[in-house]
Amino acid sequence: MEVVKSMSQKTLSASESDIGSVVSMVDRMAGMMDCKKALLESGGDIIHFVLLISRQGKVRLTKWYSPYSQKERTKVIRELSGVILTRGPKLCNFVEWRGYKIIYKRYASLYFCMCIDQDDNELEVLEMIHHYVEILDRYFGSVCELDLIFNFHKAYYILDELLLAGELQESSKKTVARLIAAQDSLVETAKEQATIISNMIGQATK
Amino acid sequence: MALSGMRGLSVFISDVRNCQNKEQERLRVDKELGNIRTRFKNEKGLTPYEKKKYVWKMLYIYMLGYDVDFGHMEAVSLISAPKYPEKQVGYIVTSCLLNENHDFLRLAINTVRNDIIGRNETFQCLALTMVGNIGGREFAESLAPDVQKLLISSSFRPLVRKKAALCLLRLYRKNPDVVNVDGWSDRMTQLLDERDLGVLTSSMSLLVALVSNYHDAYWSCLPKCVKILERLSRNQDVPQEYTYYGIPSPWLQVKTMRALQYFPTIEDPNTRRSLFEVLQRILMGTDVVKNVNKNNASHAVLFEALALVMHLDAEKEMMSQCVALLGKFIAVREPNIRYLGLENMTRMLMVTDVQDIIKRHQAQIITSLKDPDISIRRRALDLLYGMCDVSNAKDIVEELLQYLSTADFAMREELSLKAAILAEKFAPDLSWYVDVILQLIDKAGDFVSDDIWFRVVQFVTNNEDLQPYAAVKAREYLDKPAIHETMVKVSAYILGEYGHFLAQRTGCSPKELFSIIHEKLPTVSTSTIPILLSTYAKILMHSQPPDPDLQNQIWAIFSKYESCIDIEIQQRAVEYFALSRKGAALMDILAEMPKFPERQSALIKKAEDNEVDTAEQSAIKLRTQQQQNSNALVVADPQPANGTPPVGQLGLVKVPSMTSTADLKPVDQGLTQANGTMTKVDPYPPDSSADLLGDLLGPLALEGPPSTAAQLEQNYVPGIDGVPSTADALALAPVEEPANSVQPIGNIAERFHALCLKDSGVLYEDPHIQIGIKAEWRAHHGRLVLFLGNKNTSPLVSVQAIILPPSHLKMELSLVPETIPPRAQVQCPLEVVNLRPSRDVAVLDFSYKFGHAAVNVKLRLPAVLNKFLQPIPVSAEEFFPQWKSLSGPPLKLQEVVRGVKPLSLPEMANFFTTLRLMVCPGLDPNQNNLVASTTFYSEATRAMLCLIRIETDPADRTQLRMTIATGDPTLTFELKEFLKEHLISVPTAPRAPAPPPVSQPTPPPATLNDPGAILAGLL
Repeated sequence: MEVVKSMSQKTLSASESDIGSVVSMVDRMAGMMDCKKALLESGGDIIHFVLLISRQGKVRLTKWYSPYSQKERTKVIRELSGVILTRGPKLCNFVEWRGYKIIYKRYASLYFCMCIDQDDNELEVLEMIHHYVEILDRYFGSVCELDLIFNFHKAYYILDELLLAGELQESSKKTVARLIAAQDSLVETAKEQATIISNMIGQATK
Repeated sequence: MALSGMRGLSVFISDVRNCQNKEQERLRVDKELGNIRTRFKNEKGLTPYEKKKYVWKMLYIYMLGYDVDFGHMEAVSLISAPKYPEKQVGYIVTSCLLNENHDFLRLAINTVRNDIIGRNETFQCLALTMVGNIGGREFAESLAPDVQKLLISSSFRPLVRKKAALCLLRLYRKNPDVVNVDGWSDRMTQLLDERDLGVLTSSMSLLVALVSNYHDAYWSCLPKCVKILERLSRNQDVPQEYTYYGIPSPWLQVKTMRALQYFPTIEDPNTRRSLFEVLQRILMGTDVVKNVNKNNASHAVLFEALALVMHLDAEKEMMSQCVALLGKFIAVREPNIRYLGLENMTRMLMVTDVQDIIKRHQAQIITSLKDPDISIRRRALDLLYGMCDVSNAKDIVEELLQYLSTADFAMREELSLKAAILAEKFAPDLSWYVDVILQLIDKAGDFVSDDIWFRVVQFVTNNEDLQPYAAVKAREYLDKPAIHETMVKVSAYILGEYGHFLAQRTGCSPKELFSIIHEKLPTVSTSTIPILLSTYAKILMHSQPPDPDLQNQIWAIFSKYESCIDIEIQQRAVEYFALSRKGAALMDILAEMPKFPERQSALIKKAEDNEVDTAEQSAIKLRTQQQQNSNALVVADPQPANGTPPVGQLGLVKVPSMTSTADLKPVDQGLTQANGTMTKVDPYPPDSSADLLGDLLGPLALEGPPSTAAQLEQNYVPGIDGVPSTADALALAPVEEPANSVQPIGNIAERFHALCLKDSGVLYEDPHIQIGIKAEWRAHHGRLVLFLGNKNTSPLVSVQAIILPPSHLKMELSLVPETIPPRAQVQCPLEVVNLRPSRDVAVLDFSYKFGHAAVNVKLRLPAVLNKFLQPIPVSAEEFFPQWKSLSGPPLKLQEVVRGVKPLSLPEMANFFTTLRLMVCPGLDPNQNNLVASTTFYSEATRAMLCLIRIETDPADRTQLRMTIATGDPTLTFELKEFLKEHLISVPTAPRAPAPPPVSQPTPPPATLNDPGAILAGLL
């Protein structure tokens, strides 16, 4: 009891989730699933993945911060669609799933989900989701699912400015907006240059 | 409609959206994939714009759930495009499609590095983002120094530095060695002075990861963290854009408090006081507001503060405040807060002295058990389970039972398991326990695992007072119309054993018992029939005076099943039939089962092993840690028998005791001995996860197969099982060393030999601990990780691990904690440097205490010569000049080796491969010869090429001639001896030279032929 107390609760539960069963340790050492490995390696909290799923079960964005193989990714998406889309309204935003927690929130027809460890701070992650949605909203101007379908690459760009390595990277909406705008203008400039050059080539070869 | 800015992409997305059904969609996608594939094939004609477009399409298709098994190369190649738009797409799509283990990523390392060290800020950002998201070990090794430079240099802008911080965090997770602890702690402290909150947030995440691994180097960060918290909580100097719904960056606050939880305590009184002021303000100053987001953010901070308060072991007053707060939370309507209230209350149970305050909320928690949300119900169940003790067990268990009938299927199994455990642990009296379990079976038979009814049978068997009561109850349930099969099993078993106690009651004569049980037979499956047959045999035995009518009935059933296709049923039928004709012999063999040895509850064990739901698990652990007072029925087996499956042998036939009638004596001895062999001595149970049914039926099987029925009188024991072979006994007898009362599981020497050939596995195991090893070798360096896993529900103390390295190895073991918490696993990295060639072996002197047992073992570590070999292919042009230039002793040695394990050439080639020698076929013209090459690494020799030639004699596989050539005389000799040992050695034999004596169990010779002595030794 003394030991348990003197250890931080975090380390304790981390070691617990590592161990699960000592007896089966060897099997796991031999054929450990990649995601398990990620867990062992991760010091502290990490978002394992981000999913955007529509009410119809269509995937709108996936981002994996822990190494999942192709097969595992498909399996995770299938399982989670089943778990989350069937949940009624007015329930809490947390679902326990395979020893992890899924924090999700529905915005109109879209479910935003993030997967974290058992003892991570749920509300913090829930507000990260909202933070992301607000930034999307600001960027697209009242964002809707269609925006995210046709501009899925923008959703990725924005997410990359917000999260990195499964951690929150920037908590200022203004900064993220500024960085995305800068990226957009870089792409624009490159495009213009390309047009100018091709025009010049066109002129020259006329 | 919003447009993507790429027409072709938008058109494709629209097309897919317009598909009427999945089939159409697949056709459209397949068409597009075909198109992309052809375009990629003649890549020359692709403009960067087109390439970009196709790569996006691939990602979109991939997101829809289709396999995209080509084009990864194109995505990766865009990374090296000179222009930003293409490069950006290359980086993003690559990090979405590939994971860190993908081979293509390796190809990009150089480009990525050039972008990171280049002067283009936007390129730096792209590269850091990708590495931060999917960088693996190789990235860690080649990029970490560059990334560190970006982070600490103030000449880079915040947008680069915050990415560098998180990128470094990722690389650190992949390989902790990339951060040099000594040099880095000062820098980390400086980073916490950062003014830019974006960089500070990222740096804080990095700090959390660093301290979670090793807090000792970062004490100087602690006061800084408290300062940051003070600043945030007072909202001083926080730019407006970094407030979220008026709260100064809630994420940074949470992260900072998280970092503080990794420090065991706060020594400095001033820092401690400041921190508690902040925490007090958060605890008391967080109000419920209308705005959901503001509420969530402030409560995210509040819950983290609660966790920190619990960690810091605050004064009782503050703790009570916390519990009061949680009590408020579990009653609110907001489901998130209710969920978190329950979750944190469960964590709070770890804190001493507050359990009583928590108990006051019991009624409210029980209400949550009926919440419409399964997430909340699970938390409530966990909390109830955790807070249960003798004082409230009756209420809680009855509540759980009541809930069981309405609970959803997803929870029933967990629910019934937990109810069973609580009933067992905290039963105020035993009859209540029996009631609970029978109710459980009645209400949720499908979800009551075999362990649960085995357990109740064990208790009834071990408690004589309980037997008549259990029999009455079992009889009552049989009157119910449709009862669950498990109920049939348990009632039949109990009535077979103790039905005779009811003989005086109406409806309970042997004949009546028989007929009411027999009524159920048509409804049950084949696994139950054997139990019923045993019950019949027992009823028959108990019917005094014998009832010829009943006897005929039962005999008829036995003979009917004599030809049953199921072997178990058939065997029982045959044997019971034969036995029941023997009169007096029957009496003895079918007498009441002896008491079971007390052992740890299989249920608790099962619950602990249940890895699926770690939340549930944690509560169970917590439960076992509390060790509350109770008239606990659970007695942990102080010295569990090796490899015995967890559940007691619910065998139905009594094993006669040593004191039975004289004429049966020889048989008794044989039987007990055999039984002992079966259950205790066998070091390699076929499946340690316990085939419960097999176990249940175990003792019966000893009666011998049906064909030996005639022999029954002479010998119940099939010879093979009866006498343990000498080898077995050698490996198994208890260790003689007085200190070690604990026997290892498995053969230590064999485990060591296995580990010499592979890099992960178990080094040592006994009932309390398992030591696993995982090793990585690179040139003359090695990194072993010892996994010390405590298998018990109480801590292992005085843990000590000392490495006794041989002179040629430099070994450094990281700190081994003195105590391993219950069911926890501790990882201890061990760094190895090979100085010169030698066959000597390092030894781990490991000791620990568990209860009164002090255990000390000396284990050889598999840091042996072949671990420092790296196979290398050699061509004929390289081989022969080298072979000739190493002309003779001492660089080239030859020896004829006799007594070799006979191996065919392919087998030997395989064996060489596992030893890390590269077999080079075709170099030697003689088919019977084998040539191999490898590189040996040590500090003294550097990389040294080794050439090996084996000439075998097809007529006599037990001898061969071996020639070894290397550039170092010691290496040549050591390698030759090493190979010789491996070719000759039988895996179990300890090796002759260097290794110090490993505590090899040797039994007193007497035990070999005296079954009585064996038995005594076992008990």
